[in-house]
Amino acid sequence: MSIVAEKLTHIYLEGSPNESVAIDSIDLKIEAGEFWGIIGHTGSGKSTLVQHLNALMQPTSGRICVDGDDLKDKKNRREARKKVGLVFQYPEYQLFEETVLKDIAYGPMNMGESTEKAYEIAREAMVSVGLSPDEIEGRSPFELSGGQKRRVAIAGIIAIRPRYLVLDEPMAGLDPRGRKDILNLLKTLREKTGCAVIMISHSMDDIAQFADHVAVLNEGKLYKAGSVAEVFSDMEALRRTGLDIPQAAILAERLKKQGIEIDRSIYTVEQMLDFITEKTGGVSG
Amino acid sequence: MKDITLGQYYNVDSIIHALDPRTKLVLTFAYLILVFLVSKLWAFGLVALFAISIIYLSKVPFKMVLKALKPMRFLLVLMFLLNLFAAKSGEVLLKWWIFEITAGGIRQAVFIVIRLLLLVAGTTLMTFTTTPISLTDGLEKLLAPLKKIGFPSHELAMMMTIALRFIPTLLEEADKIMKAQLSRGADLESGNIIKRAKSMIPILVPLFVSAFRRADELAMAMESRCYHGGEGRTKMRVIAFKKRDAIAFLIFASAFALILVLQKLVVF
Ligand SMILES: Nc1ncnc2c1ncn2[C@@H]1O[C@H](COP(=O)(O)OP(=O)(O)O)[C@@H](O)[C@H]1O
Ligand SMILES: [Mg+2]
Repeated sequence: MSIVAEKLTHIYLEGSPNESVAIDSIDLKIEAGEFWGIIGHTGSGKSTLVQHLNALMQPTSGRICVDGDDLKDKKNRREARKKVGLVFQYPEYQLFEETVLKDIAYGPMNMGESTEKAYEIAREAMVSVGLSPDEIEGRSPFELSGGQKRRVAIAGIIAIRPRYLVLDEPMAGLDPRGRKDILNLLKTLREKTGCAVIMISHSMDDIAQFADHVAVLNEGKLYKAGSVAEVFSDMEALRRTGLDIPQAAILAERLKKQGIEIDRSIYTVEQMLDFITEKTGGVSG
Repeated sequence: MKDITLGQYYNVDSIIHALDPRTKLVLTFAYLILVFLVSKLWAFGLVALFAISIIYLSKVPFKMVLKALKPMRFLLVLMFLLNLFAAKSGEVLLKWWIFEITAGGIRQAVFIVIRLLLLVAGTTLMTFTTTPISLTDGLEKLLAPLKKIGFPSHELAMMMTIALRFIPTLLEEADKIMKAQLSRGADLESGNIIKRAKSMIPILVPLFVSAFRRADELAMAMESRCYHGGEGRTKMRVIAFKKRDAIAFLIFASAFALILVLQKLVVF
């Protein structure tokens, strides 16, 4: 089971003078259960790419298959929306119901669940985004704080119980605390349900720490894709695109320049901590 | 949604683009009157020829103008049929049950279609060649004399500018919200009218919320930059009549006069 993109290309306003090639022959395979980070500059085509994953957009050329079903076929699109849950950027702007509970239940009800069952799923989803149903389910989504709204909106997609959860910059505009909360919630959700997470983010450090695979987009092309270790092993390539490099990797690079021998790749703070304790432990003991 | 071309600016350099917006507004208005005054088939041909030359001068591809006319096709067919059967004058050519097609009916039906096409082509060309901002600027200037009798010409122009500025933003927003709800399994296409109207609620509520939020933010931003109405306000880009505007007036006036005089003189 996987999402497969083959030579996926999308051209906006094709044939007009303003036409722009947003994504260009992208080949990508995302297996069920993986945690992908998608990075790239603004305008590199990240949002366009993820909107193809649940058939909101159709490729200009190329193919996209979810669990083997080609999304060119209209019959497969509804199924794809159920399997691939897409959380848009600033998803809190899509809230519309009178109460938080009804809003989160909107998705499962559309997918054919009974009201009772949908409410039950909605409450579960609330818990998994760290909101207490007793406190919040009866309130209007419009009177919540920004961070709470964001979580309600994410719960609205989690409630569809997607096999692949796709998030477009889910941490944009949140404070550091809110960012951490969202990241941890995604990690826990994945451990609990086994769903794949595909997250667009501008934070290399977050991706290095939480993702196991990375796709780097540059000017609409897939610049690099693979396991975190593979992609972060070639810092120079990342640097050429002008993207940030994880802090820990920069430190590791400087230490190497100082003549300190590092026998492994380091790109997360934890790896660096392990390495330093090992090293210093080794010296003093 | 993306096919809406009415009111869109087509960015190229041309003589028509360079004209003063007031010139274009007045001449478009004159052109609209001309289209209603013309009542002979060959005279329509002359008007069309004139319009085509202006489109050529504007460097806007004919394809774009045709695309702007496309959404009218149902209206055109409807108007054609209505006039064909409703107008009864002259020789009866065909009769079937209660329907009657007369020579006068055919004439009127053809004329209404041509008129509508010419009208929309003309106004579309104006919006293709004039940015919304300079259009409202021109309108404000044209209406300025009415200020003396208390007509809020500045406020009207400002409202139009803001509305025009936000149409693309709101369309984009509507598109995004629609996609977001589709992601949540919204079904916007099937079911009867009531069900379909109901399925618009998840799109309309966020759209209105966002429109009000934007209006609020804009008002705040305008006030923090000390906006206080049109009194004593100067323009960054001062619009001014140039020689080319005088020439445009001359050309239009002579062409229109020629067409009308010919129509009067020639008997067929
Ligand atoms: N609706 C649209 N119409 C035309 N061009 C668009 C549209 N949306 C995005 N683009 C263009 O496509 C490119 C990729 O955009 P996007 O996928 O939003 O990038 P990212 O999410 O990485 O910032 C950009 O150059 C952008 O200008
Ligand atoms: Mg984006």
